[in-house]
Amino acid sequence: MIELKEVSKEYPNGVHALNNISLQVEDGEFLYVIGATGSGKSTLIKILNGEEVPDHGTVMVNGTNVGKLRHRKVPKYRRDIGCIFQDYRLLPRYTVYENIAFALEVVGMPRGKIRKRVREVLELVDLFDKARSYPDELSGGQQQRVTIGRAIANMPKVLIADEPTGNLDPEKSLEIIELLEKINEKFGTTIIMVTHDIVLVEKYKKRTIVLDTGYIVSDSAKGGYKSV
Amino acid sequence: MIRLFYKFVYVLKHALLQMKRHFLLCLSAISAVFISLTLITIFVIAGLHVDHFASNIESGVRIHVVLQNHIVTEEDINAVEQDIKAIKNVDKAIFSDKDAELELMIQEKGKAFELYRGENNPLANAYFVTVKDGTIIDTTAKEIEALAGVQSVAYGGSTVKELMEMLQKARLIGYGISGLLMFLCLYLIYNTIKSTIYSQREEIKIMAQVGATRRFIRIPFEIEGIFIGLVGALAPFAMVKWGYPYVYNAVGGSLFTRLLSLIKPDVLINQIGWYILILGAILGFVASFLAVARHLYKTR
Repeated sequence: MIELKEVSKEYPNGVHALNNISLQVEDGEFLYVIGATGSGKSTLIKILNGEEVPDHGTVMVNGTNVGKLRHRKVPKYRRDIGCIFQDYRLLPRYTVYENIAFALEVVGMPRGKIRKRVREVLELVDLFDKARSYPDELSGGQQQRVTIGRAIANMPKVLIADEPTGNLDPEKSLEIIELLEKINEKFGTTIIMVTHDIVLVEKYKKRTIVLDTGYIVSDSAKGGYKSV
Repeated sequence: MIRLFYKFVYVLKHALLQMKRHFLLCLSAISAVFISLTLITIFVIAGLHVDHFASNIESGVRIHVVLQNHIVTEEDINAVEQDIKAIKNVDKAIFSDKDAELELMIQEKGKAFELYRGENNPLANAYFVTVKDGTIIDTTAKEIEALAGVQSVAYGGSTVKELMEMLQKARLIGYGISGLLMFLCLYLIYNTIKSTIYSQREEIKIMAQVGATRRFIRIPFEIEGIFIGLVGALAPFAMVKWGYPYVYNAVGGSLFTRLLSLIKPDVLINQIGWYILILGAILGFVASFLAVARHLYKTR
């Protein structure tokens, strides 16, 4: 479970990115976070993955107080939450296989197990035939699927997606969201997805949070863009 | 335990991958390290030889102490010997009686002095004194001269002292330059690792984001540094191990005179050979450690 209690964050330049936000996300939930540029979406994600520390309030993710996390405990924490980014952030000089394997190497998984797990993941994201390709040989949609594969390789309980469809055409966007839905249903992974994509939010209705200048202005369990 | 083992394997793998990718950068660092370590080695060899020559010369420098003519009884001679040996800087005092003195004189000045053999010998008994520290031979000589029963002292004079001082200076300069070169070496490796880190900063960020610990990210860079240092040290090591014996045999073990005999090859390899490799590895490690510490962890 993810629980934010009265979380605030102000950057040194004086921008109040988040103002007194409280939010609760149950296990296995799929949640959209929408809002204009500068509404605090990215800050929310950075706080959730341990990159930023909130000024006030507590952030609990599966029993871990993320804000109080010691510097050297952050990597271990990150293994339990998968991250997906708009710009994919794949290791450019590693193949698809190696990119996914890397997330498992950092936890010291034996080679044989890594091979098995990467195959499973490649199958799931439907990139088995691209295992030996490098990221720049893939389309945007394929790259994003590699990122998703890498994020779920460690079987995290939470998946955080920062505009995963931001760089993709509508058709590929649907592919990605369907893949995320599949992961959500099959493994019960909690998914928090920040997006700008009105069409997606409208078509695949889920609980939707609207952020505006650092405040939660709407939290609709019904979902859909029109309802908020 | 198994996880740790695999982590080690992966870290090694990433270090090798990294070096393969930055092959040219690595190569330039290795050649830079090679040049500076070679120079360090040359200076250290030179320094050790100056030391070696100095001690050779020092042990060769003797003070000729001529006793007064009336010191003839064993008792008197022994008393003077005790006095000489009581002086701190005196290493050995070897007795040379007046007959031996005459033979030396005949050797030096010619057969004309053979006339004085036997009862006519006008020379006095003497001592040959060697000193521990050649640089203060003049004060030691004066101290001996002041002793009762000593008529005169003679030694190489100020030239010996100057030579010793010059050697001392040369040695200091050699070691000083070696030290500076070591810093240069450190700086070169540091810069290489720094630019490797810089060219990989995006990757490092991504690695941290998927849960790689600092250690996991850091160790490949440190291995790379050690590798650069070690490989750079191989050539100077070979120089000591195989090149030096070659030179040694070619010049017959000494330069011009026996006084300037060279250090034996097996002694030299023990004195510095292995240390070159260790020094290379340590320099590589320290440089990459500094670079990593300074440039790796800017964000959480």
